[in-house]
Amino acid sequence: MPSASFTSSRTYVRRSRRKGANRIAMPNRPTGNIMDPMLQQNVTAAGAGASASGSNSNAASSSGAGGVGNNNASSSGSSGATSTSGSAAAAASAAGPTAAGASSSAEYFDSGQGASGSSGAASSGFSGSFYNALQMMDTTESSGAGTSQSTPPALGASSTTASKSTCATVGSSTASTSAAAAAAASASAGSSHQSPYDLRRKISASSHEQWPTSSSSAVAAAAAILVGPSSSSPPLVNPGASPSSSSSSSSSSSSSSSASSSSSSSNVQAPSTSATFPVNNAPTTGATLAQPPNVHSSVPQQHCGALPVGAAIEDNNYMLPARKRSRRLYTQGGEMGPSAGATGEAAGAGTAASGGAGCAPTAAQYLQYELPDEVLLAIFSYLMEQDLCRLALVCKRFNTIANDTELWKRLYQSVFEYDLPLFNPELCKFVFEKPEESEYANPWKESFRQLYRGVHVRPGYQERRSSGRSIVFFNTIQAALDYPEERAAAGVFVPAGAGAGNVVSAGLSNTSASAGVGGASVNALVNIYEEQVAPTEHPGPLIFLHAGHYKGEYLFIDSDVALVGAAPGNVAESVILEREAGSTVMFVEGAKYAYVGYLTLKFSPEVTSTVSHHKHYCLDIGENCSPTVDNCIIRSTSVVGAAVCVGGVNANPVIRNCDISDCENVGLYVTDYAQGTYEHNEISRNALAGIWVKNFASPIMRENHIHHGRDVGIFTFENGMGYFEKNDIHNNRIAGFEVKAGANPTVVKCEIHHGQTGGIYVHENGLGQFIENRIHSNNFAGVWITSNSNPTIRKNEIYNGHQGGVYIFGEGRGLIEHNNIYGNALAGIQIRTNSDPIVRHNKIHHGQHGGIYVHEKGQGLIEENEVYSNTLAGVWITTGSTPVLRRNRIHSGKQVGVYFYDNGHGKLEDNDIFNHLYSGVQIRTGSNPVIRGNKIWGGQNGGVLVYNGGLGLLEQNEIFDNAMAGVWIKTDSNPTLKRNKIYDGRDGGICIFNGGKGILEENDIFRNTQAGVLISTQSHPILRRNRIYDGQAAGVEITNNATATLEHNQIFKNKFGGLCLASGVQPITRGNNIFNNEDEVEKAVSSGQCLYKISSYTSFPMHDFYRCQTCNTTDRNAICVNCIKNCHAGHDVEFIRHDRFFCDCGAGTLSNQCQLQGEPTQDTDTLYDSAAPMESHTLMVN
Amino acid sequence: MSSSSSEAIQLQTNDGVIHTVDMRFALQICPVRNMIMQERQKNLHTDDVIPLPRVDAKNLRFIIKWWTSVQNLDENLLTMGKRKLKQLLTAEHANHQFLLQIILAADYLQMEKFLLISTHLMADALNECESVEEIRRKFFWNKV
Repeated sequence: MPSASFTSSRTYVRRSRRKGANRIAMPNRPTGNIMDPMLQQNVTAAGAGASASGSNSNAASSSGAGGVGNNNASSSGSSGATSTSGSAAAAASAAGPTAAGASSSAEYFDSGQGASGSSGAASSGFSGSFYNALQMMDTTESSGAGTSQSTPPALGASSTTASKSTCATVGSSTASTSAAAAAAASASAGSSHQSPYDLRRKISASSHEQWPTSSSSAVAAAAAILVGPSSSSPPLVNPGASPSSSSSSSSSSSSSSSASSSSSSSNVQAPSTSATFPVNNAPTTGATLAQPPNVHSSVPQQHCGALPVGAAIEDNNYMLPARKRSRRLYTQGGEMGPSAGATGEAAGAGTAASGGAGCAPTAAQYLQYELPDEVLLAIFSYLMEQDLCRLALVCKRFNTIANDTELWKRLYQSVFEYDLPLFNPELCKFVFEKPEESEYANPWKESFRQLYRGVHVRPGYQERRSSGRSIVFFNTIQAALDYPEERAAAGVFVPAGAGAGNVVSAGLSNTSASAGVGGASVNALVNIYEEQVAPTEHPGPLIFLHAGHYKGEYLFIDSDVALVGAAPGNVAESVILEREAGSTVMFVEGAKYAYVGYLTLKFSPEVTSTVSHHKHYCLDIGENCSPTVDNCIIRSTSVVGAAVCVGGVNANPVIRNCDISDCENVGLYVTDYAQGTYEHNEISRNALAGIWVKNFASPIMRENHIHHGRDVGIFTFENGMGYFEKNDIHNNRIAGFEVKAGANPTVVKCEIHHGQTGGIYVHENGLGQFIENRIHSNNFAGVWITSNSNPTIRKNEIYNGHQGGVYIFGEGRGLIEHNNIYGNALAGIQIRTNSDPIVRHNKIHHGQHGGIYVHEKGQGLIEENEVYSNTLAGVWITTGSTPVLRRNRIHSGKQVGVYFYDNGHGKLEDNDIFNHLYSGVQIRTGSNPVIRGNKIWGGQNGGVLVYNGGLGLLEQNEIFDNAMAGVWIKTDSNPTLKRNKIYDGRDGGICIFNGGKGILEENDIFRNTQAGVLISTQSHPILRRNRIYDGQAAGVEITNNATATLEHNQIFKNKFGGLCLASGVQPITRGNNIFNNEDEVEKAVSSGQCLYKISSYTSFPMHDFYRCQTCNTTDRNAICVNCIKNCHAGHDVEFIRHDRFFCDCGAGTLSNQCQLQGEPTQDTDTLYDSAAPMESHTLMVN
Repeated sequence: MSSSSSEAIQLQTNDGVIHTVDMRFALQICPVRNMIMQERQKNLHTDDVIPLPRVDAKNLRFIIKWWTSVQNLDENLLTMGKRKLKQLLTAEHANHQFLLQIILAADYLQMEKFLLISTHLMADALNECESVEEIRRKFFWNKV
């Protein structure tokens, strides 16, 4: 029989599960569908007699429950009656222990399924909560159902249901047992009115009720089951006393779990226990809400309804998918509506239950909705950057909060200590940006991302490790430099303190590996194609040096390492690298993309040290490397070596925004073919030059500030080259820019000013191109060119110098063109000591001295310049100088236009010389220039003045409209004038006196106000083949013991006589043609006029004049012949001589009234007084 | 009775439970402290129960328990307070849901030190997760 029982049990398990599914489906189907499952069940029943009986019994029970839930009372009653019949039939058909065993088995397996559900609930917190919620709702539903059953027919139905329930519970119990159960139920209902003590008794009664059930079982195992429930009873009571529903739920779950773990057999009672508890609570509520009679009637109904629902819940937990569970929950919620409407307090109870459920949201709900942003921010503030990156990927809200700017700022500053975020926008460039001006939404995070790969040198931090941060700290720079090498050797990036599965670390590792590969690729390209391809990311390690004074660290950089200072405030000032023994930082071959930034570099050699420091520097950059030095402060106390030295082939650094100051030698020394780019540096107060460029070095220097050096600003020498643009070079003690010994720099758009000597100094074969610079306010010349130097000076402004503008001496050469040279204290351009520059297209003006000064054998080609408004001569040529001046415009000077003196020579060709306060050209003291093809006009003095032994050849010039004689020749001067045109003078054409000589050949002298040629005072010129005509006075006058040689001249159409000779003058005349002169003097004499009438203030007729002894006049009071005949008739008169004079009698200066007196016939207001030239200041000065 | 200050304050949580707490504890609660100070400024004394509409009994009881155990720690309050909080949570077999509840309560009650400690503890819990998926699985079950 045992074997038969075992087989039968297995069969029951399978079929029970299927039937369970059917039962679950029924509540959701229409009434019509109810019959279909029953038919199926009937078919099943036909299959086996005993099992069919059991099935029918369960089905009937379920149907009854469903009826109560879905249909009206009468329908429920009808269904109940049908079920009862089925049950009776089953009971009748059943006989003996076999039937009883079958029933027990069925119950056993159903309980087993429930146990499984309980286990699941225990393992999952949410599942447990869900289960508890379902139970709560079922309790509410039961209460509602109980309330609705208030009619007498319902009462009858209740009785039937109670009986049925008892049968189901007990199984094979007899009618008497059923009656006893009903009595027990009634007793329980009755006790609900009594005190809390009675309530506890009720609970005890419930327990006692289970006891008879156990006793009815004949199996010995039943005794063991009885023990199980007994042990669980005490916790059941305690939670009941607890006011907290949550606690109760937890306790219930714990009890279930405990029961499950105790033994499998005890599971049989566990569901029953759970189901019993809600029933106990519901009656209490019912008692409070309804009348005693209703309570009596409702209790059995509730009891009947609860159990099946509980079983269904268990089945649901196990069988139904999530969707259907949701539907059921929703349905039950809907059913609560009518119940609430029926009874207000019941509704309140329901609401309270729902509220209770709502008071327990999950962790997810808290994190998603409940917690305010500030609290989440507070939580995140304890996390590190890698943790935040993980959290940012969890959900949108976490992403928003994890990217908070302040959050990242605090993290960032705890690592890097910067006041502003530092970005690495491109290779070898690190710049601080203000967060509000950054293009990134979170600049601190972005900066962190860019710099995260760096290692840190921060003493005291080496042992610190954080789980969310994979940053390595070191105590020394050397250790930090060694670490990347070890890592590279390992060939894999494994951040210290980070898990292997760390996503962020993996990303960083990939980046690092990629950079390495890039570097290798670049090397390959260089080797194979010799083509420079810069990597997109920094190929070497990144090392941050935190605030501190690092002494004695030996930095020999032969790889692409980047060293960056890290400190609050002024970063560079806080991170100091200092050495005493050797160079502080050395870059050698291999440092192609190395970077040093935001550091202070100091070199402080021991004064007493015997070691030679000539090759030691604060910063030493060798051949074949191109590091970037950025935003550094460089100080050196070495007196024998520069602060920064860049030397060697392919040395090509970038030095930017650095401060190289207060060093005891040169600031920056570039030599030996080195190149490099140097921008925006401050180089100041160094003991020697700010910058040295030597030995074919060719740097690019832009926008540097080079000042207050105690030597030259920039010194290029020994074939130094370079390109210098937009530098500000000022207040240096020697020249701002010095070019020496074959150096050949290009200097563009620089400002060179306030030097304590010159601005630019080019000497000893210096070359160079100086273009578009501003050179001003220097103590000496703006530009010095000397010693065979040959620079190009173009398009510069050279002004306000305390000496000359451009000073070329000592065999200097050079091309000076298109410059604007003005406002200088001395000559705009000075050329001396055999210098021979080319000076073209310049504007030289408003100097406080001469415009161009050529002296001491100075030479030069001076073309197409405009020289004007200078205080002294426009051009000075003196002491053996022989410049060539062509096509210049020399005008508006306050003295002479062009001044030759002290053996000044040279050529003056095709120039325009005009509007000077003195002569256009002066030639004196042995000067012998060639003056050819010029236009000389508008002078407030003569056009050309030759005096004091001046010589010169004047050919083909136009000399006109000058205030005095077009040409003055005096004091033993002996110029040669050929083929000039001298006209429209406001005085004579040529005036020769004081022993002047000269050869005048083939000149046209016409339309002058005075004599065309006046020869006086022991002068002795030679006039050949000149044409002298159309003058307002005599053609040629010779007086004061002067002589002359006149050969083949044509003298015609002059107002006075063609040739007027004073007494005692006996010129040598030969072949002259004198004709058509107007002879106004003779006409006046003939007509009896006083000769004063044809005189003017400056025009003196030549004729006989007398002295009247009777009137006691002197030899100096001339009286004309007609006045003698009329005014002084009968007087004792004396003939003096025939010469130039004006009649004093006619002038009214004598006591005897002139009877012939009359106003002059000419308008004299526009005429000038004929006097000797003023002695010039120039003459006095020299 | 009308002029003397009481040594105990009654606080009512949102589930109707009244808790009688020591004055020193009450002064830790910023809104309650403000109310008490206003009453004293006006020289008033009432026996009214102070409602805390957004805190429930369980959370408040837990906070009182924590404060009672750390109130004498003048030094190392954060360190020891955090350790004590962890012990209490362990004893209660509390989950992250409960921790978040008391964080929310501490935020409402403006108990700065407790908020610092509890948020720190929550941060540690988040930090223990080594991957995004783990965080989601642990705290956002419905996103899996």
